[in-house]
Formats: sequence, structure tokens, C-alpha cells
Amino acid sequence: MKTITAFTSLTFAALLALPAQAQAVVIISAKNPISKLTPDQVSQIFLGQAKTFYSGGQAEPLDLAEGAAARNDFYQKVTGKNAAQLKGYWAKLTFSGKAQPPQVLADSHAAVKKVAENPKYIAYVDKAAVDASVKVVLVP
Amino acid sequence: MRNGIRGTSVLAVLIVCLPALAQDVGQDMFKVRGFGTLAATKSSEKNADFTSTAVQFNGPGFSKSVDFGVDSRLGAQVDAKFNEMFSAAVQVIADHRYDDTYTPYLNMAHLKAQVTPDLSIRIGRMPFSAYLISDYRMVGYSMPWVRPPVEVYQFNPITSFDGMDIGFQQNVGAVALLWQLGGGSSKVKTAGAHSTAQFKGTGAALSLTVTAGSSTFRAYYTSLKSTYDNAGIDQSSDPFSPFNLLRAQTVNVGFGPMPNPYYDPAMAAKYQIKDKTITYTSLGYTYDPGGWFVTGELARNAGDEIMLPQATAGYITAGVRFGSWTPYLTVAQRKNDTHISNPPPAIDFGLGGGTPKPYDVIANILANTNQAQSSHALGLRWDFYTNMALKAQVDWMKNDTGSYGALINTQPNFKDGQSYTVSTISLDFVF
Repeated sequence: MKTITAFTSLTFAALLALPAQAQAVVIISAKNPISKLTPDQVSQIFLGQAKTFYSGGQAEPLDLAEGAAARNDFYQKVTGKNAAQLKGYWAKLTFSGKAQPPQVLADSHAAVKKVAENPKYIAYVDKAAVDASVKVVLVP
Repeated sequence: MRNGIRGTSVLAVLIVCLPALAQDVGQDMFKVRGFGTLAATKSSEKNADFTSTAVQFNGPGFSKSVDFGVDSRLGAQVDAKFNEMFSAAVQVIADHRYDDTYTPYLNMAHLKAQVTPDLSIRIGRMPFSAYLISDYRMVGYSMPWVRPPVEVYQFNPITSFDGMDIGFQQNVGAVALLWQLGGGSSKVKTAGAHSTAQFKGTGAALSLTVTAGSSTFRAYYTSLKSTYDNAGIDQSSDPFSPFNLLRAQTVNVGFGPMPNPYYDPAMAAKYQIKDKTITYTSLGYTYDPGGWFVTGELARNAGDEIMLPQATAGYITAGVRFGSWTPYLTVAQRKNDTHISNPPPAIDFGLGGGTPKPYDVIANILANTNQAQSSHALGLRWDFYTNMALKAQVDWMKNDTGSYGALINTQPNFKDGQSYTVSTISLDFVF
């Protein structure tokens, strides 16, 4: 009985922990002097409406693959758009020759690695993937 | 008719096959993408054909019971990124055209230079973006309706221009501004009443798009100078075509040259399109916080007194998103502003059987420029699958007195000023 209770508690704990694992945080390179960004600033960069950080440096957003939990969480919270709306938004820009959607990386670890390379990159990743090579500038 | 059916089948085959091509061709250098719509449209007005643009040869109503040519379309695009600075885009579209075929045409082919992160220059063929969604009016998936409201979007059949444009991005706090200045020339072939009509023009355009939070505002102005001679509106080589006849001092009617009773170069000059200016102005606004949206636009085309339609039009659409279901409502109106101060007199000297009477032809073209109408529409969009949406829409249209509205091929029994219903089901996709 005790074992079952403990097992159930663990299962619940694991279930509760799941949303936290999927939580997206916005990161930039540790080499970038910026320490904080607002949701509006981040939204503009990821929707192609701003090509630079407010401080003036070039900004290039990176995406996670479609269907990634962190991706849906990030776009819903920061831009208010769900996956279908975001698809429609980029269809407008690509098919009018105005802009291309961000480069897509395989997973959060690949994104962290890429962002660490160059101060122009900005990405959203699973909180768990963050290391010292990058810094969190927004927790949506 | 046969061409239409063949075209539809080709379109259907392409729709099935093309998504297979939608993948990276060589890692990051090239990207192949596409979009399309398969739509069936029915109109209750049986004495005329409903069309969504001036380039369509026929439509549902008189010519067809259910028509796939009003909104169906397939587009494919290749984007190339050569390096940090240079990229290129080529877009080919197949849809129902002026000659009743679905012959693909080049809608976009340009080179882009990203000079600085905020400044870009494009050279080549770009979309002609007179209205809020003109840039992507071919992409059904990216708009709420089955087609953009015809009151505004039938104004102007031009879809692209050849030239150059400069885009400048500005960010002021939470407000993003995009300035676009373009210049170049365009031409378009439309399904004319007597034969294929063509319009060519050169001009410059300025647009400003302001995005702040969930709001997007867009203002646009362009001025086009026609470079096209009216003689080509009908058979340009035919000496008896209205404008050729008005300009000829003598005509050859079989017995040799004789004085032309229609000779009237002043009349030809007055209704000449060449060197006349037309302008397009539009103001659009969208508020889309996610759970619902409202979008509206006010547009006007004006310019010199010529045979091209002048009008003011607007629409407003509101929709609510319930998960993957989005019902929406549209109210739209178009007013005719064409003011011909001195309509051509209807004189008939009689030049033998079957000879066209130029004044009648011109008067007829002028009458056709009245497309005043109003409508309300109710629709439902269902995002049932990734990258796909199903839509159903009913439009209740009402033509103004003396107006053909969005209708062509009007038959002898056609009455102006009547109401009719257009029903559409469409499948939109992007890949």
C-alpha cells in the first residue's frame, strides 16, 4: 500500500513537472551585452518586424521544429498566435517575397549551441537546456 | 469550356503531386514552397457569370452551374539564399485566366539585397500591393475569407510589377514601421467584352505598414501612367475597331477609300488611355489579439477622365476563433465615381452591315465601368489539419441600378440592380 502511494505520488510529481520542462525561456548569447528584453521586443524580432535589438545590434531569431512543446508555448504567450495562425502569418510574408521564417533547429540543445556562437542569435528553448554559454533575457 | 475542364484537371493533378516537392532542395540554399486553393462556386444569378477578378474568362451562373475557376489556384515558389546579403524568389501561379486556360504565369521573380538589417532593395518582378492583402491575395490559407471582398479587390487586375522597391524597417518603442517605395511598370490582360483587353502602365508607389501589438495599419498610394494605346483594347489590327475608326480620315469599304463618317480624332483622344493617370489609394486596419479579429479597408481609385473605372469601396470583417473553427461576417460596399462630363453621342451614319459603331462601343465600355454593389457575407473557416483549412462562405450580393457589379457575360434577360447569392466551398493549403 505504501509502495503504491509512493508510486502514485511520484507519478503525480512527474506529471506536474512536465509543464515546467516544456516551459520556454528566451535566450541570447552570453557575449551579447543585453540583459533583458520585453515580450513586445521579442515578438517583433520573431515575427520579422524588427531586424535589430533595441540596442542596435543585428538580431536573428531561431525556431524549434513545428510541434515542439516549447515552440507552441513561446508563440502563444509572446505573440498570441497558435500554430495555425503563425503558419498563416508566415505564408503572407513568404509568398509576397517579403521575408522568410526563422531558421529551424532540431531541438533546444542545438539552439543553445547555435545561440552561444554569435551575439546576433536569439532563440526560445526548454528551460532545462540552458547553460552558461547563453543567458535568459525573457521568461514569458 | 473544354480548356476550363482540362485546366481544372491539370490543376487537380498538380495539387496532388506538388506537396511531394515541398522539401529542402540542398540544405539552406534553396527552399521550395507552395500554396493552393481548390474551390467550388455557385451563383444564383443565371443570366450572367460571377467572377472574382477582371482576368477571368467566365464563371458560375450563366456559363457554368458549379465553377472551379473563381477561386481555385496553385502557386509554387522557390526561394534562394546566396549569402547574408543576397537572396532571390521566383513564384509561378496557375489560375483561371482571360483566355479560359490555366496557363501558369510568373507572378514574382526578383533579387533581394539586404543592404543593412533595416534596409532592403528588390529588383525584378514583385507583387503589386495596392490593398491591405494584395501581396498575398492569391494565398487563400493566409486570409479569413474564401476570396478577398470583390468590392475592393476587383478594382485592379494587376498582380505584379516589374521594377525596383526599397523597404525600410523602423522601430520606435513597441511600434514597428515598414516603409516601402516602389517604381516600375505593369501590364495585365483582362477578359474584354469584345476580345482580350490589356493595360500597361508605369508609376511609383509608397506604402507604410505600422504594427503595434495586435494592431496593423497600412496606408498606400500609387500613381500609374498608362503606356497603352486604346487601339489595342479591341482588335488593334482591325481598321474598323472603334479607336482605329475614329482616327481614320478615310475607310476602305470595298469600292476603294471613301471619307470616314466616324472620323473624330478629338473623341479618340478624349477616351484615350495612353498618357492618362490613374491613382490607387487605400487605408487598411486589422486588430487581431488571437481569440478574435476585425479587419477593414477603404480604397479609392481615381485619376483622369478615361475609360477605366473610378470608384470608392470598403469592407469590414469580424471573426471569432473557437479552437480550430472561425466563423466570420463581412459587410462591403462599392460606389461608382466615374463622372463622364460629356458622354459620346449615339450617332449611326450606317456604314454597311456588321460594321461596328465606335460611339456605341465606347458607350458600352463606359457603361461596363459601373461596378457599384454592396454585399454581406457569412463564412466559416475550419483549420482541420496542419497547413490546411476548409471554408464555406455565402455572399448576398446586390448590384446598384445600372451596375453589373462583379458579373460578366451578361445575357439579354439580365436585369441590373438585382440581388443574387454566391455560395462557395474551398480547401486551402500551404506546403
